[in-house]
This record gives sequence, structure tokens and C-alpha cells, in this order.
Amino acid sequence: MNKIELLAPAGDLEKLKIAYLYGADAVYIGGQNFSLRANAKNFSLDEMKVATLYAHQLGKKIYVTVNIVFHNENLEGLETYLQELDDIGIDAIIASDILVLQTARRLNVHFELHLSTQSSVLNEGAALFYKNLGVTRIVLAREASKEDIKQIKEVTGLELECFIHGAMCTSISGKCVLSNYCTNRDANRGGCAQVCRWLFDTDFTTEPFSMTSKDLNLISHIEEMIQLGVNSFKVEGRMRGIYYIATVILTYRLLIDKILNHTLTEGDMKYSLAILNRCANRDSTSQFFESLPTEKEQYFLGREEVSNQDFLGLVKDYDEGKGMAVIEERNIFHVGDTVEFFGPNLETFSITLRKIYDEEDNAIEVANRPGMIVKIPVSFPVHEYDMMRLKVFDKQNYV
Amino acid sequence: MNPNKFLVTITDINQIDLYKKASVTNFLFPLKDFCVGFLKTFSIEEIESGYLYINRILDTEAYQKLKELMQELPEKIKGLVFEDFGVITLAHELQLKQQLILYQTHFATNYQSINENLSYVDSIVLGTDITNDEIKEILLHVSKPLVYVLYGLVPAMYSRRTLLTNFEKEYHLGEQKKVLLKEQVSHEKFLAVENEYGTMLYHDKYLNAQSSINDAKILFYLINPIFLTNDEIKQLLEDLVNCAIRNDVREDTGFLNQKTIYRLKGEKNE
Repeated sequence: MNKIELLAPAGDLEKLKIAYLYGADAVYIGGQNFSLRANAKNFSLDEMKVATLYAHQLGKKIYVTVNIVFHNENLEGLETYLQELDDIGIDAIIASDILVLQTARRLNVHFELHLSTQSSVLNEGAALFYKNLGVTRIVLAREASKEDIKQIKEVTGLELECFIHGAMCTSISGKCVLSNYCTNRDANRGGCAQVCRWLFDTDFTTEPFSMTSKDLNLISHIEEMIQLGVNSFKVEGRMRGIYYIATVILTYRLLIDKILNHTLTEGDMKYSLAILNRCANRDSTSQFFESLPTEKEQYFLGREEVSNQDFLGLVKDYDEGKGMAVIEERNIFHVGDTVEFFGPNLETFSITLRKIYDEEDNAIEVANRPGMIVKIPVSFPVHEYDMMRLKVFDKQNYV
Repeated sequence: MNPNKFLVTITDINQIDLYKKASVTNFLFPLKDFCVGFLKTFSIEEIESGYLYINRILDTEAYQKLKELMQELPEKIKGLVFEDFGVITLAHELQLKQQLILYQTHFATNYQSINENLSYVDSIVLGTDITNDEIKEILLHVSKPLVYVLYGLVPAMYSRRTLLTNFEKEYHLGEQKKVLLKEQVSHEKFLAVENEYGTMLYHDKYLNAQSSINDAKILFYLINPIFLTNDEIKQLLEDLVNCAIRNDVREDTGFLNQKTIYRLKGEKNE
């Protein structure tokens, strides 16, 4: 069987650390140049060095996106940048422009060349074209069906990476400049304003036209995808927060491990799905994997998102002697709330909050300032970077 | 301008005589089952002579079908204008003699990438999301003549989804394959055209890119006059040949004089 990789996004060092801790085998990041999330925080070269060192100490991998559509003015510095990435020791770049691929080859870099989903590969011929350019892995277009995956794998033998979770473009990646027209922001250089999530009037009905896609979620197809030969399972979202990354990555980590150990139950699947849907705030579907999406895979009348404040706090420390967890507050919680702790080395458990103390050990009724440090009696040991969330689902109901 | 260098997209076979009368000799036919954004496409049998337009991102099924179709490509087909790199592999495998012209709608935006791609194809259609100055710089450095989009509707978005059908199903509306959309905030208009292979949104202004560019570096001037009437096409050809200044409110110059931005908080290069 192929080696299976869970690939997480990270917009900064904290998110990167969380992604690895919660079970990612590899993380993809963007630099401050040549990356399609131009308005994310992204990584400086120094931060990339730290990130790469951290990843490799854990025996994990780190990939860097170099995936803008270059204009003349963006050409300067590309060669130097690729050389710097090589010196840092990253494991791969994710690129779409043939210029980037060829420049990297000419420089004899040590990192691998992964073809970005921006190149929209859906057939063996396109995959073979890029294989001949030295590409070792293809990030397939999000429109890939199971038949496409199977055929490309069989014919090319290339490593295949598929998006399994997160937001979807309405357009085929890279084939949209709605943002350019509506906001003068260049979508293909990282300025996308997500115009496909806006509303339009039409010339034949008063109903507002919407083309917004629901999110992608392939949780129920992971096992099949492994059998088809997918090597890397990619989660979207370099702009997402640590709670999202932790929840999604941990859920898929546990699921993939159970699939590989042949211990996955239907209850596990249903519980995982409930957690993921709650975390994303948006509905999700398997999109193109089985058949062409219909109106059921879209939102109409705008974004029907249900916001929640489930992420209550981040564990900073735990005093075993006192049975006291130190929590950095993220959303309001009160004495009497039933909360749940989860983490990479923790069997998820819930408690009802009997007491909350502030930093000076004064008893308080509510933690209501983001970033405030509070202490909570917790009888089970928790660890730094574990998280506390509102208890919404009871796992027992899914067993 | 010399009409011999025009490459005109055909949307109605009856228009060909009209073009021939205007000395246009190169025609681009949206190929049946391999194009999006057209209400009318053509089988190879229907084509007298010209170039095939293949603008779909080809999935496995489409790739296999195209491979079969290309096995015996007649000589009357002068070339392939295509979006998907799989066509290059296919052309190589089948040892096709036809001209290969890469038309990656939003990607041919700098001269170095264009030159890299020109190692594999005979020409490339220049992107329409760049400025006049960028185009001039590209033409200064490219290794082979390019195709320049001179006039017509240009794609703003290509989705594999059948967006019009989905909308109509949701609201139980009658079938529409061509709908004008107006974005509610910017009021920009887009013409959505759907077939079973997806939906193309064209910017609703006809791009008029008449400009003083280096003709020696141009293989063809691409004209995409879809949804224009015969009279409008006649006038258009006359104006283009004579380099006349047109005054049509349905036209604009796209991004030729309007540079796009992509960073909102200033430079982060330090």
C-alpha cells in the first residue's frame, strides 16, 4: 500500500505547530512572495527556517507554495527565492507555472516538485506532461472524479494529492478572474475577493443568482481513495485558525489511522462527520468525487453559515498536583457549562465547570475576555496545546 | 490590419461566407463535446477548413474521446487551439502534424513562462488580464509569434458546474442556457453560457484591444465575435481592417490600461 500522508495548511508558525501536534504528516505554507494567499500573514525566510527545523525534528515534511500566475513584474527574484528555499531544506514546492518548475530543475534543487491544483490536472496526458518536467506529485483538480484518480494513478504512477476538506471555488482553480473585474484584485496572484460567494441579479427572474459552493468533505470516501492510490490527503485553509486546524486534522488523523488498522466503525464515521460539520460552520458534500455536483451542492440566497463560539480555550499548562488546568480564553464560558477537552494525546472527555479562577486565584463566574488566563479544576491530566470546546455532541450517542 | 492574420471564432457556419468576403481565411471552430461557453459547436465533418478550439479542462473520459477523434485528424484541420496540457501529450503520441496553439485563458502573462511553454507548442494566446505595457514587454522577448486577442467576449470564469441549470432547478424556473448576470455590489455584468460540460462567464463588454503592437510578433489576431449579428460583424471587420476608432458602448479595453492589484496592506517583501 502507498504511504498515506495527511497534509495540513498553516498560515503562521503557531498554526504549523498545532497542525503537526494534532497529527499532520506534512504541512504546506506560503512565503511572503509568489504565494496565492497574498493577504495571509505567511512566512518570512527566517520563519521558514524555524518551521523546517521543527518539522524535520518531528520527522515530518514541509512544502512551500510558489503558485501565483506570474506577470513580468513578478519574475525578479524567483531564482534567488528557489535557491533560498533549497538552502533552508524544505521538502517540496507546490507550483503551477512551468517557469517555476523549469527554473527549479536548472538550479538542481534538492526539494521535490509538486504540481499545484492551479494546473487543473484531470487526465493522464496532462499528468504525463508534467511528469516529464520532473514533477513527482500532482495535486489533482478539485473536480477530479474517482475514475480520473484511478486512471491517472494507473497510467502515470505519480504520487497523487487530493483535497479532502475545506472551501471550494466555484470555478476550476485558476480559471477565474471575477475578482479582477469586480474589485480590480488579481485572483491569480493571491488577491481573490471570493466574488463567487456574492449575489447577482439576472435578466430573467427577480430571484438573486448565486453560484456559491458548499464545502468539500470526503471523509466517507477516504478508504476508497486510499485504495485508488491517493498518497496525500490535503486539507484546505491557510487562512483558518488553530481551532479549525486542530479539529479537522485530529479528526482525519484518527479516521485514517483507524482505516489503516481496520478498526473504523460506522459510529466513528458519524461522530467525525458531526464534529467536522460543526467546526466548518458550513455544509459540506463530496462534490465531484462520485458525480457532477447539482443544486444540492450549492448555497442559494448567500452564505447560509451558522457561526458558533465552540472554541472556549487553549490549554497552556496543567498542575498535576493540584489537578488544575491553565486556560487561555478564546470564547466566553461560565461556571456550570459542560465542556469537552480534546488533544493529540488525549481521549476526548467532558466535564461540567464547577469553578473558574482568575490568574490571582480569585473565583469568578465567567471567563469573558479573549486571551485572559484562567484556571479550572480538571481531574484528568491535560497538556499544553490541548483545547477546550463547548460540548455539543456526545460520542456515546454515535457508538 | 491584414485580415489574413485574423483568426475568427465561428459560432454559425453561415457566417463563413461573410468572413471570406472580408478576406478572412483563418477560422476557429469550437469543437463539439470539447468546448464550454458556446451554444453552437461543430463536429470535424462540419468544418471545411480551419482550427479546432478545445477549451475544456479534459477529464479522463473526455481525454480518451479526444484521443480517438484525433487518431485520423484530416488535413483540413490546420491546428488545435487548446487549454489542457494533455493535448500536447496526445499530439506527441499521435504524431499530429497540425499547429499547436496553447490558450490557457488566464496564464500567458509573462514572457519567461511563455518562452518555456513555446518549447512545446507553436504559439500561445496572450492573456487578456494584463496591461498594454506588459504585452509590449512580452512581445519584445518572446521566441515565437503569439496570438493576440484583438476583439470579443473574453472569459472571466469557467466552472465545471452547470450553474444555470442548478439555479433553475432550485427555483423551478424555465431552462436558460445564456443569462446576463449583474453582480450586486460592483454592478459588473457577466454573460453566463452553459452546456453539459460546464458554465462559462464572459465579461459582458466586448474587449476591443486595437493597439499599436509589434505586428511581426503576432501570428494571429484572435476575434471572438460571439452573439454579434451579421451586420455588426461586417462593420467590425471593416473597422478592424481600417484601424478605425470604434465608438460602441458595449466595448471596453479590459485590463489593457488598468493594472490589477493583489496585496492590500502594502509590500511584505522585507
